[in-house]
Amino acid sequence: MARILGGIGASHAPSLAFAQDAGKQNEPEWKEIFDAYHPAHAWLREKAPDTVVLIYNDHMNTFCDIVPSIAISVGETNPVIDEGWGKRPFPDCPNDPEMAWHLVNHLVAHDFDITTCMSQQVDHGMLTPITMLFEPPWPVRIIGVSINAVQHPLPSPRRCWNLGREIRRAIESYDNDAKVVVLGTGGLSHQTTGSGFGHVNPDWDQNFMTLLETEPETLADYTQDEIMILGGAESVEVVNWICMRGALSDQVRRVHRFYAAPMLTGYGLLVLDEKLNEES
Amino acid sequence: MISSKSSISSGQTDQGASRSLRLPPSIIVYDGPRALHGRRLNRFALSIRDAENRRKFVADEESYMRAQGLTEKERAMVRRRDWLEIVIYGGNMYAIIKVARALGISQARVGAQMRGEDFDAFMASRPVGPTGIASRDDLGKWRK
Ligand SMILES: [Fe+2]
Repeated sequence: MARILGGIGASHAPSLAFAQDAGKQNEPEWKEIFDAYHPAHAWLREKAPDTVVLIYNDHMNTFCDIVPSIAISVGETNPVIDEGWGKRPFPDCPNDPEMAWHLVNHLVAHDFDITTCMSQQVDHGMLTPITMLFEPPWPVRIIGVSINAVQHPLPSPRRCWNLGREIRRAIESYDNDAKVVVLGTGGLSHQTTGSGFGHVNPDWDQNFMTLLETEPETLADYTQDEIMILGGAESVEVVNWICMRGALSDQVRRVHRFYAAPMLTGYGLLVLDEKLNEES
Repeated sequence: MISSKSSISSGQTDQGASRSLRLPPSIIVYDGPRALHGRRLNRFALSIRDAENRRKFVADEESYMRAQGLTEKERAMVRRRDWLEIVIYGGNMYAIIKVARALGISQARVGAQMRGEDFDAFMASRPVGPTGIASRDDLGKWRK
């Protein structure tokens, strides 16, 4: 059966991609942030996952007229697109359609009404963390699980937590020896719209990361409105982290945690390893 | 019920009553009424993901916006670069930022303008310090 090796929470802010593409990794304002990814690289090298289940949200690039609450990419590849400021020079992301369809079959059988997407376009919600964590040619296959975090009404944190629980059961019932990492992307606090633009809340972000690691189900009791006031209107995408954590067990060991909020976004990075896997 | 135009002139639409907290006007919720009202602006903004469309828009904003079917009111908001009015009206910032960037205007500048702040003053407010608001237990003043 397939196995979950652990999970990663990572911001997907375009500012990281801009800095990366401009080669600013060693400039003073960015070095600490890019260096913070090194322990995640080491962990991924050691674990060598085959497939990443990437929980993210689209930003109107795939879904605009039609907005599914939960969609899963089920085609052969996830194409990298031009979001409006030039296509980033990275190859398309290979999907794992066999496992993706297994997830869809399992989730629909367990009352999650999933939208399937043959060509889920890769915007910064997927591509920023992929390029921060891996180098092309991509060493993993990537199944995109998109949760609507843009057009209200949004799935509740509880719904996203439960989705993560069911994704775990789906992976564990997949008759294949694939090694899987679950990646939740987005946040942490930020607000890009309105007179509250630039809202950043390091106190909440730090508490969120602590709760996510140690008492994750308490986060399922939050409402989207509470998250908006705590972390800013666009920080509702932290449900992607909650879903990721739902896919992990109680037995996780923290490998790495980083947080910085120099400008407009709380950049978080959290790597959780499934302890049980070490013994097996 | 989907609201008339007048009900989205301030922070929350008429769908705000169903929300769990009293959201401040500084939070603009992109919901059904806004998505409906802003559909032309958002489709226009998404169309300039295409490099050729981007070039056409920057070369002749007015003609491009007319060809995209924007109303005079909508074109005027873009002409004035009135980002706050655009997002209250129903533009979604994930779409509208593509317009701003095509015009060479950064997200931080868009943001400072939406806050009604001078750009340098806004930048001087970074990084943000401690807030003392760390969990849902700290949200008393927003409870209904
Ligand atoms: Fe995002």
